[in-house]
Amino acid sequence: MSWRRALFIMSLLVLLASAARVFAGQEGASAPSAATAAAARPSGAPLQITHARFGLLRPGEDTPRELLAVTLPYRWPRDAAGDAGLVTGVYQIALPDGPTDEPLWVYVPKLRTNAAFALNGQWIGDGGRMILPVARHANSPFYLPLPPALMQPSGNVLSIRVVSPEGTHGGLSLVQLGTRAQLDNAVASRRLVQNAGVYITSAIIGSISIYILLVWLQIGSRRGKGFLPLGVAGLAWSARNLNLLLLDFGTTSDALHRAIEYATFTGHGVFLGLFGIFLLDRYAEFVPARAARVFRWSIYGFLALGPVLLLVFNGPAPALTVWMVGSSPLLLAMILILVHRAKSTRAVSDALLAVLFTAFIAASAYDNAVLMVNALFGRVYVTHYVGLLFFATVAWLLTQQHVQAVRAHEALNQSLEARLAQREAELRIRFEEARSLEAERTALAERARIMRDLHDGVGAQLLTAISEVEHGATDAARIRDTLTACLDDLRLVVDSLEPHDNYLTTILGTLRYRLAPRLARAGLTMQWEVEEVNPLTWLDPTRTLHLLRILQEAIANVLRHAQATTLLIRLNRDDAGVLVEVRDNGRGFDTRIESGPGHGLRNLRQRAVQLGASLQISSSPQGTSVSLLLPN
Amino acid sequence: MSARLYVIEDDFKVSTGILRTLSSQQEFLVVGTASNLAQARHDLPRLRPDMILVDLQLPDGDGTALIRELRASQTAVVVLVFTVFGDESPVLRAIEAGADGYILKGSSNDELIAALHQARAGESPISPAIARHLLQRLRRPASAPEDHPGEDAGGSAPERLSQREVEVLRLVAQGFVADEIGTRLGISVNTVRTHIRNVYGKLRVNHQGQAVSAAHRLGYI
Repeated sequence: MSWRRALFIMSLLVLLASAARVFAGQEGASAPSAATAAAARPSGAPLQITHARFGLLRPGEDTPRELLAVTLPYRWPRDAAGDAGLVTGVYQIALPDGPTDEPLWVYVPKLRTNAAFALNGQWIGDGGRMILPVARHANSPFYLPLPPALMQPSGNVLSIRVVSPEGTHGGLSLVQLGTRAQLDNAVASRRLVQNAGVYITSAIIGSISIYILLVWLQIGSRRGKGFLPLGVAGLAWSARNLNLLLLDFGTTSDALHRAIEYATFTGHGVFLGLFGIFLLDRYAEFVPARAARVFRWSIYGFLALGPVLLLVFNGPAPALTVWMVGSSPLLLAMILILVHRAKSTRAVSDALLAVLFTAFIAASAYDNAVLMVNALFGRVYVTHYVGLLFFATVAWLLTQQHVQAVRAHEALNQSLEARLAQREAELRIRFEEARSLEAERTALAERARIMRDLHDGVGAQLLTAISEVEHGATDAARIRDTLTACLDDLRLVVDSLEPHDNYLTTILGTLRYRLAPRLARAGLTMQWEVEEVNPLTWLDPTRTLHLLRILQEAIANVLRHAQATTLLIRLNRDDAGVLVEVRDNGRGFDTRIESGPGHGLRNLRQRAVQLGASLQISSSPQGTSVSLLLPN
Repeated sequence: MSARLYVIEDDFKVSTGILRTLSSQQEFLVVGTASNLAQARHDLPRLRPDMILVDLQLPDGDGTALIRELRASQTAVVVLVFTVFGDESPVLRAIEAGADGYILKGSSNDELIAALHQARAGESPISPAIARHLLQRLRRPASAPEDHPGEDAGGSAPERLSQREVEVLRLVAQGFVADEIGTRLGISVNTVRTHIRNVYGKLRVNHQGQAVSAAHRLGYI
């Protein structure tokens, strides 16, 4: 980044150096080297003509009644009376005698507003329209030859007839006389500085302004703070320079002429006012809110005042003077804001801006002096050059700040995205934690359930077995039966935990598979009448275990008491639900008594309630049926 | 000629119970017992049994690992898993590793002998739960044509169950036993058993195929 700053400062220095060179040349050119027109010319240098005889034309007359000796540059009073709005002044310059090898040329750096030249009474050239509206040569050098054919051996008189509208400060600067070799360079550099320079700076500032306005159109006032006032200020600056650029406003309408004149003359003030608003927009934090408000309204007032003053004073020059003097507090405030900012930020760019703005004000003051003070008349205006530096610097800083803001915005976006991603990751982790906690809770509940199942089933049966042994039961078969029942129940617990994908048929099949050897030993023939039933969603391990225990109990009852030869297990499903039936062809029992086979009935009913099923038991001497209606 | 049997079981009472049961049997000769995997690995190459009865939970590891080693060494041996519950998940893992079947601990002497006979005859016991699991694992897609066996003969496509095998498995899963299935499908009991054996074979092949492709994927081979 620093090489760019270096480049910028270097180009500033180069521009400043060029400007200094131009002014040095001007000073040299305007240094009076001859006291009178008759003074001898030093060889190699043109003759500086500082004295002339001057007279104003009276209305209706063609030559002045009297001619007075004046020192150039000389301007007639602003309030001089003219003929129908146009004042004409005649300058007569006595040319030095003496033979010349080469033709002589006359060079007038500046006059106002237009002029016609005559040598010994013979017309030799003019700047165009000499009646209202006069061709506007306020900023044009005149450079024309003195025709040798018209030259007399001695007593040659150059007559310059200058016209200017009433209320303006018509006049003539120093005049130089010399050969082309002596004058060409001076004229060329004067044209460059005084005319081409204005074109170039105006074009640059106008282009930058249009660019700033285009950017403003794209990004709007909120993000493009200060873009609008600065862009319009630059356009006002270009309008101001029209005054120096246009020889002819292209109209003979006096009103329109006036309007354009107003526009050009107010351009400078508008530029300053808008720049003040720009400062307020950009650097609001360096101005107390109340002061900023006062300042802003002062600027609005100042901007409104300019055209009013121009109308009241019926001419630009005094109005501008009043306006500029009136603006000085605002200018001072603007300088203060810039200096304050530069001191706060300690940035080179801010310091540069403060210095350039101060220089700009100084240049404006100087140009105003050139406009107002007779002795300075004819000097080159400098404000455009300082203005270009100043304006380009402001635009550059504005762009830089905008780009930085955009970058900061992008960086912020990126960090926001990163933070968002981080938050998402945190949320995900928290979600995972919650889920694993939930899984843990489920596992804990499941473990508690298995413990309970083991305790109720295996535990209770083992206790029974122990108690029987303790009470002297030594019947091995009986103890074996108890322990077998114990293992059976343990198997049921394990089976209930196996994933069956909720297939009731497979759960029943597993039970059959487990009990098959025992049934075979008991000589029971199995009739397996199950039909496929789609997975039942409610069939979780707990309910599976209840179901298995009911069925096992029912089958165990058959094995123990029924003395049956066939065991039918049936499974089918209809709209009412899923029906599971265990039926035998044994001797049956009385379902009302609670001993023997009836003993287990209470157990069965309890389990059926827990399963949400309805249990039906019917028994007759032809057999017993235990049927269970499960929900669909 | 009697079958040479090797028992790997860390419960001394269980293994002696088996020895006692089989001592009166002409068909089976227990040529050795081991209480851990290390001992079994040491004995097996020397003893070359025809049948191995292996507990899954041993002091120095899972019996499934040994089964996998035996299958990798192409040893022609019938491996039976010895389990308390026939609890399906570990048994299924063992079968996938190459076990030919399983025998429940706590079976009566007759049941044990019957199961050994079945295994020797090449029969694989299958529980409804295992059948259900196999159906879920190996079910052929419903849209696949049924009578174009040559179609996926090449390549490493997993072996699929035939329509008949699916029918058999489905009936097993519903709790039907072999002869009931035979009656229902109009085939002999032996055919039913052959179907079941084939299903086991396909399961094993698929399992090995998966192992190979997994090894490929991981860069081992």
